[in-house]
Amino acid sequence: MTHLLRRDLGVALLLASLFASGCAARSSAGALAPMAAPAAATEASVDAAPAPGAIPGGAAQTPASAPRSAPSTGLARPAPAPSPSGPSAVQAKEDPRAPKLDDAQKPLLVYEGGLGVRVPKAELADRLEQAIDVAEAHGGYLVSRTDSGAQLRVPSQRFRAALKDLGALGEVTRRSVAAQDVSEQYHDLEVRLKNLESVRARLEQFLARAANVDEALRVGKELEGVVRQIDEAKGRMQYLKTRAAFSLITLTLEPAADKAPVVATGDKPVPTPPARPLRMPVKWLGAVGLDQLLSLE
Amino acid sequence: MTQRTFVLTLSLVATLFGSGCSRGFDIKTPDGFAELDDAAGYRYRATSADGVVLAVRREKNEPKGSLDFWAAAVGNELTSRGYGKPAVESLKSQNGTAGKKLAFRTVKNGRPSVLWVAVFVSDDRVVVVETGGDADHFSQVESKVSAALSALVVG
Repeated sequence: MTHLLRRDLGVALLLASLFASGCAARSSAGALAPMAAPAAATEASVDAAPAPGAIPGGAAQTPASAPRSAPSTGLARPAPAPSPSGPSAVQAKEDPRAPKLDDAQKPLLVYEGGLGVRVPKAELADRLEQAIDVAEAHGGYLVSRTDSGAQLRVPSQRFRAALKDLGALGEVTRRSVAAQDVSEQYHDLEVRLKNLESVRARLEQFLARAANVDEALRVGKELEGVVRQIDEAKGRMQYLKTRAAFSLITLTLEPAADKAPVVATGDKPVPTPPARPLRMPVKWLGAVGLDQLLSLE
Repeated sequence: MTQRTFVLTLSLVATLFGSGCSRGFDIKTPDGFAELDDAAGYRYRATSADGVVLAVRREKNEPKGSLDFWAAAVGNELTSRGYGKPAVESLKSQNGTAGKKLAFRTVKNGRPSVLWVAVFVSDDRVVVVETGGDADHFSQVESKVSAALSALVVG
């Protein structure tokens, strides 16, 4: 009996220490993430926006063969710019004096762009189709669509080129770009994932050494919770990577007013001048009328 | 010339003058109108007691123009003086001369008024019939004036 109690106490202490390490990792990641996101959000013009930063490690999965549908969730890291038209001028003219960053050091940036384009009213539907074609040509896809706009995702390396091509659909009335640095969030998730995987490994060891069914059930239950947390962390990391790999462009098409008839000057049409007074060289014509007719004196 | 021939000639001249053909037209004064002696530039003028006046002038067809020409000339003249666009109607005199009636509505001394101008054209003459007055009074004698125009004989 005493032996059993001592053994249970040992398992309990071990589990408590394991949870303590897992919870610490979780609270660390959870506390840092919400602080990092808003602090890193920035607004920039298109021309000033740097090329999207690469995500540390891994290879890209570009859904170029998935037209007008969301890509699979297997997106990882954006590939290096594959096309000459894709990379921005900023990338092409990279300052040689700038420090060389490896993938682990590059910031993880999420780009979101807004574009207002004025187009002829009669051609609005056609221009919207063309906008989707532009996104697909850049390896992107349609996220959502309304009668007068669409949300498109394009590979981050093609973000600037896609914005430029979409702007060519009409007269650009509004353009905005926001970049959000999610590197810290991503890093916290990496640390948390590492800790959780360590806990999972130790729990798996305990499970293998469980002396009875009851002990195995308790360790198994804890293992199940850790695995769930690992899945959540991986899912969150995957989400951040996807957002960074594919930038969101919100396109709004504005119907241009029908052209008014051209007038010579001002807002009002020029009035037609009165007809040239016709004076016939016939004296009696001037006498016709009520003035003389009714003059009886 | 014998005495008989002279008497016949005199009678013929008297008949012609009596019928009004010497004026180049013949018009019957409507009932309720009185012919005025002082025509003041007209060959004929008559008035109703309410001041509706009917008058005829005969002018040379110079410059030589057609009915359309003179009707347009009269219309343009009056329009340029603020009478507005007339309602135009084709007429025929009793003896078959084609004419046009231009009906104007205007305001005279603050009162709605009516003016009709009928134009008949022959080779060498232009006969112009003018009638008008206060719109209320004119409406009362309109049929009589219209009858006088229909009975007009253009010489």
